[in-house]
Parts: sequence; C-alpha cells; structure tokens
Amino acid sequence: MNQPHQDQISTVFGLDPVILSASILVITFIVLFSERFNRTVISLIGACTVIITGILTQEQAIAGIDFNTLALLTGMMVIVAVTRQTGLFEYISIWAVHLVKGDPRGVLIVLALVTALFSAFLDNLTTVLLIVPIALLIAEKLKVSPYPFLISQILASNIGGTATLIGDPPNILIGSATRYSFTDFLVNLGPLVLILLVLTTLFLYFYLGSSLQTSQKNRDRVMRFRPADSIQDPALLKISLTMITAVIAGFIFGEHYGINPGTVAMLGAAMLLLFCDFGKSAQVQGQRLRQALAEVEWGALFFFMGLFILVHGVEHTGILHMLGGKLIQLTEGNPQTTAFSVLWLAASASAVIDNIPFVTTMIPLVESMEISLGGAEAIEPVWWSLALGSCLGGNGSLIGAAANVMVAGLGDRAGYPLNFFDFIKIGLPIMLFSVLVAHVYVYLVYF
Amino acid sequence: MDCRICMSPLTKPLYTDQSAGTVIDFMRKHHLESVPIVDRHNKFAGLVSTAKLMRMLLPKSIGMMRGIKHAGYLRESAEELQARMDDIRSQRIGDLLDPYAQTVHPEASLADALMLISDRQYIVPVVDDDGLLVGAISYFSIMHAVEAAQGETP
Repeated sequence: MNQPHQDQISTVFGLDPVILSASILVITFIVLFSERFNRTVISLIGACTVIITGILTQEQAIAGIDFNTLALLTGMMVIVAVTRQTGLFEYISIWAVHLVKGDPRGVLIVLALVTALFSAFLDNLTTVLLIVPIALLIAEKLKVSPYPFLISQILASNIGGTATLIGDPPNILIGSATRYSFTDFLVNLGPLVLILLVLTTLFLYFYLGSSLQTSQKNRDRVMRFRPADSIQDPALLKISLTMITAVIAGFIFGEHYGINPGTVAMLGAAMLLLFCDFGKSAQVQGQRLRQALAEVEWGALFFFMGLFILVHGVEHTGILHMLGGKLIQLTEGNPQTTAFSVLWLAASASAVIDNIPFVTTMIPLVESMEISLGGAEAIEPVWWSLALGSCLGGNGSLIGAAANVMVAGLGDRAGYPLNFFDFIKIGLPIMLFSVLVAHVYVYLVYF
Repeated sequence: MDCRICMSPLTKPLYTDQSAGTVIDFMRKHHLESVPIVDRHNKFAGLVSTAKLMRMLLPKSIGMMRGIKHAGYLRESAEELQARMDDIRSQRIGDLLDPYAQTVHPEASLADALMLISDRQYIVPVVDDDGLLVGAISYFSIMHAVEAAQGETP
C-alpha cells in the first residue's frame, strides 16, 4: 500500500494538497458523470491539472499509470479486431439459432448465452456490436418484438462479463491491482455467474419470452440462413481460434512464471498479427496492422490513463487512506460487513454512474483497508464483492455499462429505441435480485 | 478552373416531398449514381445515391449498422426483397437522403470537387452562399467543360 506523502508535496500557491486533489477529483467526476463532455478529454484535463498544480510530478504521474491494464485492454482489442473479420461471431450465433429450430423463445435464450460466453472471454462492446444486429434481424424475420432481445443482450453481457478477469473493465482493474489470476476470477466468480445465468435464462424464457409467438413460415425464413456462409476466412479463423486458446492458456498458466496478463495479451496480439499474414509481403502485413489498430479504442485507453493519474494524485495526498480508515470505523473492522457494504455500494454506484472511475477510485481505498481487516486473506471477499457489485450493477439502468449504451444505440439506429424507464422496470429488479444472490454467495463461500 | 465552369446546371430539380418512386425512376432512366435534391425553396437538401438505396434494400437491422461488413449467412427470397423495394418506393425522397453528402461553392477550385469525386461521391452538388443548389459536377460535366474550353482556344 502506498503511504501518503503530504509533507513532500509542493502545490501551486501553497494550497493544501488534500483539499486541492480532492477538489480536482470531485470536479472531474461531476463533469464526467454529467456526460455533457467527452469523457476522455475530461479525464486527461483532470490528470494534467494534477500535474500542473504540483500534486504529482510528471514522473510520479507516469508511475501511477497501470500499464498492465492498458496492455491487456489493447492486446484483447487487437485480437478481437482480427477475429471479428473471420465471421466467427455470426457463425456461432446462427448455428445456435438453428439448434433451437428458429423457435423465438429458444432464440432469445441461445443468443443471450452466446453473448454471455463471448462477453466472458472477449470484449463486451464488440460482442454486443456483432450479436445485437443478428438478434434484431432474427426478430425482424420472425416478426416478433425486438425489445426482449435487446434487453436480454444487455443482461447477458453484464452477467457474462462478471465471470473472468478479462470479462469487464472493473475486473481487469481489480485483477491488475490485486494480482489475482485468471483462474482466481474464474474459480471465485464463475460458479455464481453460472447460477445467475440459469436464473436469468428462466426469467427470459418465462417472462420476456412469453409474448414471442410466430408462424412456421417465419421460422422457415430464419432456418434458411446458412451458418457456414458466415465464415469469411477459414484460415484466419483457425489461426484466431488457436491464438485465443493460447492467450487464455497464457492467462491461466502465466501466473506461475510471473507473466502478467498484459504481457500475455500483447504477445497474443502480436503473434496473431504475425501468423495471419505469415509469408505475405510487409506491405500486406502493415495493412492488417493498420486495420487492427484502427479498431483499438484509443479514446478508452487514454481515458484510463487520465483516471489512473487522477486517482494516483488523490492516493498520493493520503485522502483515500483516510477514507479507508473512516470506512473501517463504520464497519468496525469487520470483513463481512465491509464486504457487504462494498458489494451494495458498488452495485448502486455502477447502476447510475460509469463503473470504471468508481472502481479505479475504490481500488486504493480497499487496498488501504487491508491491514486493518486482517491481511490479504481477510480482504479477499471485499475484492470479490467490489468486482461483483461493479459488474452486476451495470444491469441497474440503461447507462449502467458501456455495453448497455451500445445496445440502446444499435436498437435506436435500427428503429427500435429502448426507453430508459422501460429498461429500468426490468433491469433494476434483475440487478437487485442478482446482487442479493451475490450477497448470499459471498456469505456462504467466504464467511 | 473553378466549379461554376465545370458544373451542369440543374434544369428540373427533384424535391424532398416528392415520392421516393419518382427519384428511383429518374435515376433508372438516366443511369445515375446519385441525384441532388432540393426543398421547395430550392435549397440543397441532400443526395439520393444508389449506395443509400442498396443499404436500404438490406434488412433494417443490418443495413443501419455501419460496422457490419458481411452477412453471408443471410438467404432471402425475391418476395422479401420486393417487399422492401415497395417499402422504399412508398417513402418520401426526404427519407432517402444521404446525410454525409459534401458540397462545393461555385467559386471553389475544381480540385475540391475532384477530391470528393475520387472519394466515391460521383456527383458533387454546387451550392451558393444562400444554400441554393446551382448545379452539379460529375466526371462527365468536367469533360464537357474541358472540351468546350479547348474549342474556344484559337
């Protein structure tokens, strides 16, 4: 845990570093959560203000950036950018639809499960970007309401993403800070996610799916789709699947050799780019690289960078250490009370605000409580509670997660706008119920 | 050369509130890739292009998503395509406009129009300071202007 360094900080006009850094953080977060300005620009302005006002030197600011998280995100974005060109996502979706013979309720379930699976192992946004249009197309062909499909995609992407280290940005942040491995996430969160998926599937089938009725003629239209024709490049597909398997194996086994997930993902991305155009000219290889890099969300990466500096500034002045102490006082140093408080706080916050800045701020706060709670083992349930709350909380509203906003945007573009309050009517009870299940799970497993 | 010299003046404009079938028939008759459209005040409103029509011929859920490059799994009957064609024809021209259409000013350098044409906008509307559509530039209108200029040279 980083110790506060207030006495060594020389701020502009001799301002109190604690008040100054807290003010910068609060103002930046208010502007961020107002969603009136681009979040990356605001985060970078906040970060630069931390340096200009003297809270951090430039060297200290750079030291505060979690390059493991950035490398993991970038590597996975490149891998997904190349893999999506193969048609794999479309193939699996259409194949799954054939599996249930175009039955609307069955389609609702299988597409949700496909999204949950891909969200666990790949980027949520890409997953919904590719699966939602297929779901809408199938709803169009079956002549059924597309709204159950839109809602189920949101629920599935948030629940699926909870299962692994790479499934959702909060997990990536927590994994990088705690050094919990891919296996740790899968073992600790995976069983709960399976339970939640079963419960969600039942809800989708009996509630959202109950209105989905269609004729055999419409089902035949869907059955005419040819999954095999989705595959654009079989050779690239083989290479991509091999590399994704290798990367996941790297996440699992790399920890034994001290290799961080960021390194594994970047190596996987580089190897994929090497092998997918192996033997071709440097010009062709360069073109593929440019295509892949064009799909990397640079804005998101710079957003993370700004946040890391901003939170490192606050951490440097000792506020988070102080707040951690207050939280310990409130929970009387009881790990169980602390874990449950963090779980519900994270879920409530993530339902209404961006969970990335929230978790970035919570990480040093939780770190500061480690000794008071009794060490690394005692604080473990608090970390899992933070991960569960911040991921599952995303289902609480339409702005709870970036994937929600993406699904709503896709629906809007296709002429099916998803109403904010209509979503809350379903999303909020599902979120509260899933956090309640998580509460019971944390209690049974860790206490 | 500037854009005014190279443009073809528009004699019979098409209006946003006319039926989409009118512009589709017009494009089919004259083998046009795109057509500039005006409102009832003769102000430029946008372009109707075959690219946009083709996109509208796709199922809505796929056609509206710009990120999707392939949908090879999709197999549709002639009836399904006909239904969407009928749907497009029943709309107004204003519903078919390409929002990304770029324009040039009459006094602008021809190079500006050439850049747009080379960027796959095969018809470049020429719009004056008041937003009025005064003509359009295509490869063939430039050819015509160059030939006319050479014919005048002694």
